[in-house]
Amino acid sequence: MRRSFFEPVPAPNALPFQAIDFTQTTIPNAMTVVAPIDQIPKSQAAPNSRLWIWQAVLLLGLVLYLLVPIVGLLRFSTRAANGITFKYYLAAFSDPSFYTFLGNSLIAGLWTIAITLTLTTFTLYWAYLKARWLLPFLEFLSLLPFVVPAVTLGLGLIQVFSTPPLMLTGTPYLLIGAYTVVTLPFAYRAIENSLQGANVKTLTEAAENLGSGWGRTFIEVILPCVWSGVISGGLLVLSYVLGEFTLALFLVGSSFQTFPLYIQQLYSYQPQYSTVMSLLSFISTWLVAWLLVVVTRRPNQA
Amino acid sequence: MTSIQSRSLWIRYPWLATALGLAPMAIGLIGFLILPILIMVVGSFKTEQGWSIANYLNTMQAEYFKSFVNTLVISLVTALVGGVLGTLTAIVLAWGPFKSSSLLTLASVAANWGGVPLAFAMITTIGNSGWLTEILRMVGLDPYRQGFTVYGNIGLILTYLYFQWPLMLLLMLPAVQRFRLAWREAAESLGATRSQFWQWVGIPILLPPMIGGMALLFANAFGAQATAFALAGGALNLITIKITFLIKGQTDFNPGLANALSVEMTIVLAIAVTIYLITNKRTREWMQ
Amino acid sequence: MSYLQLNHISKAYGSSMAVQDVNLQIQSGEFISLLGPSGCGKTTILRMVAGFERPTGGMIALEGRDITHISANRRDMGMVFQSYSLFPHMTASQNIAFGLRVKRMARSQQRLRVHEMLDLVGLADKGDRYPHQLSGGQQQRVALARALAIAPRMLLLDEPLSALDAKVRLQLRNEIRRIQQQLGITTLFVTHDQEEALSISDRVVVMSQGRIEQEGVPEEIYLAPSTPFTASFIGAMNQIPGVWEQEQVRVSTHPDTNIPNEFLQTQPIDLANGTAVIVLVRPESISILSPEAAAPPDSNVLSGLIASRVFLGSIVRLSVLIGDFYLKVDVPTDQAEQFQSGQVVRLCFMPEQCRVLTLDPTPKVDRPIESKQPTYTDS
Repeated sequence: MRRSFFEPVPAPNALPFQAIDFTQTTIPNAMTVVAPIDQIPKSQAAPNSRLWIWQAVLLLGLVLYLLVPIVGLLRFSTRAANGITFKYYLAAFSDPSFYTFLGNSLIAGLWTIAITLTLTTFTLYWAYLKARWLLPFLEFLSLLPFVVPAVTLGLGLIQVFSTPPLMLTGTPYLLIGAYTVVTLPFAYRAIENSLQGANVKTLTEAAENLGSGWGRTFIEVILPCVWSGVISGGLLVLSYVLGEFTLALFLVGSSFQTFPLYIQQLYSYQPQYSTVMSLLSFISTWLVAWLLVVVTRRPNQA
Repeated sequence: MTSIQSRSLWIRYPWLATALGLAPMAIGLIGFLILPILIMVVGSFKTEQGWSIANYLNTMQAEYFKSFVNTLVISLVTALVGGVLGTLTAIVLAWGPFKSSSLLTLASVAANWGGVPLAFAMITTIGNSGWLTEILRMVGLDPYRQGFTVYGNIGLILTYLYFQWPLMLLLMLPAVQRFRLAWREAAESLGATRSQFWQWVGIPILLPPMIGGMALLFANAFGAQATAFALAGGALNLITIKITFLIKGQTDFNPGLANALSVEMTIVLAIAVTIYLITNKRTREWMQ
Repeated sequence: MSYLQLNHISKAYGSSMAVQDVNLQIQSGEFISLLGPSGCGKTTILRMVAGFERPTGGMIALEGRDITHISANRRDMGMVFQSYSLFPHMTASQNIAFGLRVKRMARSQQRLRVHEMLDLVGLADKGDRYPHQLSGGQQQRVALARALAIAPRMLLLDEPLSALDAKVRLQLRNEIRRIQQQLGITTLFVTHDQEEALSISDRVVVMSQGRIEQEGVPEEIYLAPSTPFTASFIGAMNQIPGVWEQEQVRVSTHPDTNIPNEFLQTQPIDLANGTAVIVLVRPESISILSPEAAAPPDSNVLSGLIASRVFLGSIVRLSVLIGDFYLKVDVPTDQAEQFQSGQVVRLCFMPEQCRVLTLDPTPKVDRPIESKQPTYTDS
């Protein structure tokens, strides 16, 4: 069943794309896969020829509003006494700390992806088979980022993990653990989409009927079907982690500086570098969005 | 493999398998979600003098009360403005002649990008030496002369709108697409003029998703921290900023107070999300 | 003067013609069905009458007045849509009252009228329900009540029963007819279900590819289809190709030229020898002769082999192979036991039940509504 993927993900702190098809779920959450607009049913017509004026005004307004600040970044990062210079770009990318901190974020991201996706896929699969009553509960997870934003979570986590024996504050483990929990809704939504389409229960029963153990069933039968969901989930999680600031600030601060922390700190003494990084972050977010569309547009044979 | 095991523990206690399967996620959730929240709630009642509600009383003090109101106002404004703009854009996009999927991609990028880079993008655009500011100066308007600053409330509102507007667009698009042509035509066949249609049919039907969307936008803005922090550090009077400095600041360290503020914030957010859930239920009933 | 007149109505979308030169006259109080497969233009015509589409050519007149360019909300027509057209945020009563509110009717009067309408459609106690609390059939009843509440000049129905369960469909279509007759309101009904159209209409207009194929009372459409399309669209119909020769139709039943052809007697018709024709005969008009029975005089008799039998409830449909074509024969179930696949049977049918259609190669433009055939009343 075709779903429309317009899930907004709110989270000013760079929450991953979320898709909400509220007629399917109660909660907005995860993944946005922006459906190609020609797939959008031509529903309503305000059979009104003056509509196109409104359309032009609003759409142009939105595009301008969204692109003008980016122009600001471009201008500032290439500003020179007379004309444009790319020296800040060169300098920013040749600074070794850039790679260190980007690396930190990537490491955190990859670990988070690994844990979250495995956990979610595994649990969802199990829930589909044995504990279907759990599914609505899992749906509620999607509302989590709204009720418990990063500030709240960071505050709580710091207090839990700053006393022995759980002395994890300042370590990347804590951050990764936090990220795992926060990105659960996104991964859940992404994988749930593909699990739904794949008709898990029937496939599993068919496989068992043919003598396959649950391990093999999982790997050879289920996984290929949910692959696109897994990849989408991975992209979303990565995008989130690369942009997440608040939790990193609270939980690890300077001991394991991540990319967004770096960008923020850099501004005070090298604003142009910071701007270059900001531009980079925008481009990479766009890249992820585009990849998401590509990945989920693939026809899904279930 | 399974068949051999199934004659044993798993058959006798089927719930054991389920429990084991769900255990990993449960542990993760308890450790990194439930526990912190509990500690936070418990900690809000702890002061140096022991258990009391002193923290909560402190949050009603002028300084924190003002932060609360300020955060509330900013969140409401961005929710309303972003909400209206987003709804109109969704309507225009779904019902109008021109379709663009790259616009939607742009919207989803913007709805998810934010925090630190957005703050800097805004500074370079409408900051004191931002390019828009300089263009305005060339035409004779100097907003900074009038007291405007990107590091103030208005600046923050403009910044938040960057993601609130496209977010509302993405939230409303499904609802607007599910708005049936038959409703409009039925109204027309029963004699309604365009304005009667909007007044009695169009707007009332779109109201639940709109309100729900705005509730989410409100929650979004209310709980936001990164953007504001990167924009103006401690200068902005927001609850989330206050909490940040109560924990990270060297001089103001007061976890008890931070906990109390956080609990109050969570209550507000829970109300907003509940509003969303209620309107969502209605939306689903209607837009079947 | 007809109540509703469609004169040379056409509708083009870009380069494709959805409706081509349609002429139709509807009298006051008539129940007219537009019948045809999807894409035949029937819905487009309805929407043009309602005012949601503008014809690209032609004129629509209601009670003598040209309404072609009047906007939909001023045409005073009640319309029932296919499904889910009730305003979801209003109760059934509020939905029904909508048109009355627009007319600024007094509240007390509105209430009376709503009550009246709810009674009319049999939902007197469901006024306070919301659409999502009503079943599909109930929703369509409310939609009907809503359309009728404003006492419109015409009732337009766009496949209102298509989305409903079979049983509800049956019930509701009879109700619609009953209400229509009770109120005497001129009605235009669009459907792709021929049983629906034939059972409740005063006249049926069969359409295909934007044109009217045939128009007439249901019996006429069924018993005397005048075009191959109508013949195949309405009910099951046997179509036997042949050549007109000396007052008979030569039908080749064997590809092998050594075996003589069969000749069928049909209804009298005036055609030149050698004209290619199609003989139409309904499956229920063919009977199976027992081996020793003598065929009635002047009847057509063909021998063939039962190739298959299909159980359809009250009848069993046999497919009998005769030479190189198949004839469908309907036998009442309680008599069908004896006929099994593989049997050789003798089929018998009377000439009066055979209609002859010419294969007209030219496109049917400006075809008059009346059939070209000479009278086909019972001989």
